Amino acid sequence: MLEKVKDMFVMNFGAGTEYPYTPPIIPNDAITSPDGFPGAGMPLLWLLNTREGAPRWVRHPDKGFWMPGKIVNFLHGYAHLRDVYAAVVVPSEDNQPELAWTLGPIWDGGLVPVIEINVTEAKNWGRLWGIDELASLTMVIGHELGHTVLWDVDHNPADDSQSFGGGGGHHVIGQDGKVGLHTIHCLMWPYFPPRICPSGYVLCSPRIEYCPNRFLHWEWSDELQDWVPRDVGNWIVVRPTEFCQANPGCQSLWKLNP
Amino acid sequence: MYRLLTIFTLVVMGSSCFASPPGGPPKLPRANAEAEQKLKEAYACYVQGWYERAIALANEVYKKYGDVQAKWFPSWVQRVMKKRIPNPYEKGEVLKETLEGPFLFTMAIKSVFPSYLLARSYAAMGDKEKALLWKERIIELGFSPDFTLGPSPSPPRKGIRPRIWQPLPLPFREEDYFILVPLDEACKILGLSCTITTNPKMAGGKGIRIVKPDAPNIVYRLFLGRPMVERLENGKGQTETLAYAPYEEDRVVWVPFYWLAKQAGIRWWEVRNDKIYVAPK
Repeated sequence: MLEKVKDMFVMNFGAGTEYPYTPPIIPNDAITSPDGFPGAGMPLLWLLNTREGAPRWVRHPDKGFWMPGKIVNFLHGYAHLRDVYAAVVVPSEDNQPELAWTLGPIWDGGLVPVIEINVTEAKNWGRLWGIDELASLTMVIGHELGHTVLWDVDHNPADDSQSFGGGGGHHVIGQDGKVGLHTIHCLMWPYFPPRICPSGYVLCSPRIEYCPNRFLHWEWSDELQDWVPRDVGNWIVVRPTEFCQANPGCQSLWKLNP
Repeated sequence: MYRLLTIFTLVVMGSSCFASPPGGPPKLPRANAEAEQKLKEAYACYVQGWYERAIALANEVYKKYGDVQAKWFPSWVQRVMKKRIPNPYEKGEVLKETLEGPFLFTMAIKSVFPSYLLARSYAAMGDKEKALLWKERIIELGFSPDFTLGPSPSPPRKGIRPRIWQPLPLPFREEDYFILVPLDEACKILGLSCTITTNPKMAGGKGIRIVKPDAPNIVYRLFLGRPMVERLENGKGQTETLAYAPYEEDRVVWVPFYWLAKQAGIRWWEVRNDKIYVAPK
């Protein structure tokens, strides 16, 4: 595994409990497995116990405002006392049919970095593209964690028709349905999973007119009761595991620097 | 108590600060009491496979009020919590209670609007044209196009309605328009193998296992007061959601019939004259 250059802390409220036993809805592996985010372009994620830690308001080192957080004393007070903040991941059935959404940046004192994941929807949609459950969750969680730190970054302000940055939080796509300056290998690509149809379009969909051959690339599935990609093997399905280096890349805009 | 101080700010924050999709999930107008009840029933009909009724109800609401959103906590939540439950329309309140307490309110909440139910119900009936028409409407509302219409929780209903039905000698109760049955009696009648044991190590205090006779190596575990099923196969577990959680009352474990019927391979069932009728497989 490549050395991570940054750290991030996450609380997983979907991890289940050992006693009494509740099965995990979001396995911790979806956050901490080295298979999920193997590269250096994603911070090293540390899981915090959702039931531990003392609450405290923490002052933002650059902007000076106070932000909510928790103190976690890793070694019971003997060494390495450290203030940390954590994004909070919760499984959710609210706001269907969205796959996931983020409520606020991690560094803003007035908002909260809560990420809600519609686990069933994320799994179902991922399965359509031949992506297993854990990988689907990893990608969706990684993307949402990006929002918590890239919240105010408008990646492509010159093109507001395609830029979902600013208040929406750092989404960018190309202008013509093809890959733009931003890369589809980045976790912040707005569509899950990033894919290129056999005709070379990233926005190939039965309902979007970019790709002239779109109806060759999609078919109706009686089993899944929806349009599904025809011959997924002929598509290029990308599984991003980190944030891109494109200029200005998500990696360099990452605000955490513990 | 000291779960997370960040929670304090949730109560005062607005809901305008979402991300992913762009600008956040669309905020739909809140359903009034009448629309809420109809959507609640439509949701239960959809889950239980009564798609025509779900469509009729959702259409009625849509024609009268457009795409209004109904949110509620099912009755089992109150049974389990035995305390005040948050207002489902107050996002901050729901999140605060979820992060502070031992119970995932965000998983228990129900949240539907007419187009969503219409798209899924038509899809489950195999009416592709209408399903896609309503899916388009959902996307026009501002939802991301990356979601599937199916699979539905109950089997799709296509073809001609069966002519032969038989009543089941099974008591049932109705809650939030869901048909619930006593698990042990239902298993005997449906031919499923069920065990219910007292087990404080399991959430809800009961170990509930269900095995289908044709798949003895797969075990389904249910948890009282948890809207989920754990499917165990070869030592590996996978969770899936349940639309209505099992609960215990007077030593009887009540479970949603739709889920048991699906496990038993029943495609058609309905309630008439205070009886559950099924069409033979």
